[in-house]
Amino acid sequence: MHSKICLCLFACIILLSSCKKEEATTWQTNWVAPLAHGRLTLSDLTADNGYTDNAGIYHLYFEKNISGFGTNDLTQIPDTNISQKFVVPLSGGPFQIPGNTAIITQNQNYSVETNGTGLRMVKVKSGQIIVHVKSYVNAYLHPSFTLYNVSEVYGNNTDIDFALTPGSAAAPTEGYFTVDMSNKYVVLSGTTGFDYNKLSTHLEIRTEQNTTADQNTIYGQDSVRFELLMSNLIIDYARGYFGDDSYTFDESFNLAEGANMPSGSLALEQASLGFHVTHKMGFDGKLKIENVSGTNSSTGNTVQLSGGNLYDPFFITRSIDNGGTASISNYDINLNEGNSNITSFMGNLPNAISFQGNLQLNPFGNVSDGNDFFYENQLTEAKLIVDVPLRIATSELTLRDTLSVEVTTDAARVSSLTLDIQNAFPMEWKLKLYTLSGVLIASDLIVSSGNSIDAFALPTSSTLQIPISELQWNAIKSEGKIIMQVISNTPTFPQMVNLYNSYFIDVRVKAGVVLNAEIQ
Amino acid sequence: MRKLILAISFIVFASASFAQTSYLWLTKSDSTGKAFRGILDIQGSATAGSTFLTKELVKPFIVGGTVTAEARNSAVAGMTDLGVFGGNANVRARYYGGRDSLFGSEMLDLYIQVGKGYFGSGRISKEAFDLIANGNVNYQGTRVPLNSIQGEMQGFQSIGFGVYDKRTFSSIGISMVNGLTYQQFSLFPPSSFYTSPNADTLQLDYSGEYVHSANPRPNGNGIGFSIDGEYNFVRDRGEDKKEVWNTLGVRNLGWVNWNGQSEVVSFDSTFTWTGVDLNAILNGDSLLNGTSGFADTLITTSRNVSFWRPLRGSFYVRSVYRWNEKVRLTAGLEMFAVPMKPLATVGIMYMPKSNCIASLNVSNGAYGNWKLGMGVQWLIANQFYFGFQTSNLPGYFFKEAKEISASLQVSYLFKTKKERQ
Repeated sequence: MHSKICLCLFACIILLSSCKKEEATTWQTNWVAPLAHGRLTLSDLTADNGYTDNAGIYHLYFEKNISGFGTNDLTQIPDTNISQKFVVPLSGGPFQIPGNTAIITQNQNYSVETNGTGLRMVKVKSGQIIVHVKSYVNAYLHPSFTLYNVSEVYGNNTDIDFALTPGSAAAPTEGYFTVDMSNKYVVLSGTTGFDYNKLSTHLEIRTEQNTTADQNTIYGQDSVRFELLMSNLIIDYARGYFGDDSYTFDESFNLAEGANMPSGSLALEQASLGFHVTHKMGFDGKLKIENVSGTNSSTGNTVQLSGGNLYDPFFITRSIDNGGTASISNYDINLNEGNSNITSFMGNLPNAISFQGNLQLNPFGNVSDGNDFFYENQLTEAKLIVDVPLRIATSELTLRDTLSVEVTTDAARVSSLTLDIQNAFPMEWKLKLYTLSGVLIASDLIVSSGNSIDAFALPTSSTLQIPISELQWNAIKSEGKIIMQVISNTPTFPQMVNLYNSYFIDVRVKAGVVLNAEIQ
Repeated sequence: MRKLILAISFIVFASASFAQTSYLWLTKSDSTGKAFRGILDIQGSATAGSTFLTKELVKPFIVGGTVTAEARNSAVAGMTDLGVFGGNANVRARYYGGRDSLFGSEMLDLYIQVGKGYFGSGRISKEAFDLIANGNVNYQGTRVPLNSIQGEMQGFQSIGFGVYDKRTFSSIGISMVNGLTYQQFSLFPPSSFYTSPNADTLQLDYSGEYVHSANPRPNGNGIGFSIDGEYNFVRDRGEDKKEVWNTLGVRNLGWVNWNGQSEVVSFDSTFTWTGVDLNAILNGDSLLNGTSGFADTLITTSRNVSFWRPLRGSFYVRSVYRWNEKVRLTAGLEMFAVPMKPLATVGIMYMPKSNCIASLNVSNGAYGNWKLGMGVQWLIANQFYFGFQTSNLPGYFFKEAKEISASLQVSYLFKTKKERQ
């Protein structure tokens, strides 16, 4: 009987243990879902670098500030440490000096470093002056230090007092005082009023008022050392003579941040370029542009801008200080298709502009008698303005952009894309998609030219089917990017077409998605 | 012989539900009810069934592997409108006492029992299942209602006692129930998933409730009671002992109060997806960004409540007709205390020997539809009983089968001293 019971138990164990799960449960489902949608206008396609004129034609408009002429280019007060020893004007000793007796009195002009310019007055935006005094005298001292014409009120002084206990050669006593220089005027014309870069000070060292003679034992040639540390001084306003040095400009910049310049043939009309200087600083100058060139990084072609009076030197006249506000003077150079090669310059579709030139200050010398000036918040600016009305003809004009496709899951695979497109632009688009490593996803996908009549947008419909194999999807997923190339052709190149602001492309992107469900 | 017939009849009853002890133990009994000192009866059963889920489709969820499109499409094709699925796993040990008398009656005595069980069931419409199983490719321009999706799962332990009649095993008992876990998920109207005709809009309306007890813990998350009872009686037709044994019973009929740590999570909102803005893509956003935003928009409210829920109890009736010495005909009907189709069963039983039975039955209801069951019982040395039963024999052999079950019962009779002598 026992053997039968064991047989039954064994059968039970086998039955119950046969349900162990050894691998994940998986299945695939097929979904179709919207991926993206939107209307693309010229404003979108040019990253808002444009405007619409009265006729409705869209203009590409780029305005680029060439880096402003900064105050640090002209002058600055670097961190400076001025140290001076003051000696008791006696010989021999010891001398018992009663309290409140002056032992050293001295006026002093300190030279301030200003990077080669001559300053008569500055207003400091921020920074500090640290005064450090060190006494080697065996007496109770009361040093008083005055910074003449250093104050938040123009013409007032800053007084600094110390109280020092007796010191010795081996163990001097020390005192520190920090002057916050924010919003303080500093007159640098010295005691004469006509110097440059001179900071006037007064020093008086007395024995402490409530001390007795036997407390103050002084020897001749005992000394007190003063240090003046100028730290992080930022100039808000400066007046003086800024010299006649020349400054060189060498700037490179993208013409339109965010807008990808295409390659191919593009015919343009009525493009213009302006170089505008707004002078708001108190010095004369001679400005000369040496070179303006544009490079299309896709083709590698570089075209130098020429024509008009672009490369002629021109003088800019000093502004007038109207008590806190500098007068403004403007200088313009305007180039168009009539006086320059702007059409071929822009036709090269430059995405990088190179600009070189120089500015000479005060070409006629110190004609202001030390009254050049600047306000830190009112600086001279130079601006490059490009205006291209979109009257164009394109032939195989190729726009290439990289789309980010960040896929962090294995649970989904895009198996197809369907693009429903309404195109109102009077040009045909040819679409090509491939991965960064060159795996082709789709090519020769044609978006028909729109039937728009002048500003009246009449779109045509196109549906593009893009199957995506597992191999292609794996490439997209591993690289995280898709390169989209759009080739544009106007109907009868080189005949121009106007691109109106009313033109658009409506795009709806649907994805066929294979979802891989998995249960562990 | 009468005792033998009685025993055989109960084998049939037990094999159909495995909630009762085989009456084979009574083959050595007599009308005085002193044939044994006690019976230890242990039962275990597990069932998984559905009106539409085939074994081929469910098997990967149990043993792992890929759920093939063929299996999914086969399941969808086999659905009419609403599909039902469910399962249960139970184990129970019961000891029938063998005292001489109870309440002055030699025919009555007590039994005690402990058990543990899990059961779950759910339903889903054909369209909703197709959507989940295969995706929305075939549902462009269609709104698929999801409010058909409901599911419930309970787990519990029980301990109880009852009084039984030694001659017929008619009994009545009560058990204290310790609720282990309770999970219920329901979607209400207007829950639906909409795919626009050109698939440029997906819209998910989700309104429903997720009710669940606190995390399972040894001392339980709820307390309740359940009642088991059975009345067995015979109608002797008087000719060649062609009597009919009848049974009326209730099983597992009770309620559980789930404690205040239980949580009701409600949600009612709409998520619409039309894709990301193309300009954002041109400005450098990822083409696939934004698809993870659904979780952020899932607005839920939750509250902790205590609530009563019924166990999955049932009422049943059965009859066994003695056709001849070796053949019995059986019929039964079981109705459940939860929204599930009643289980109707007819069958035949063959007895090649007096201690061995093979049975075959056809049934319809409960989790699934039509099924063919089979069982064997064996009484060894008039003391050890073994029984195995399945409610759907094809479930073990055909991938298209929609139900599979196994029940196992072992019992041991403690003989009286008199019997041993």
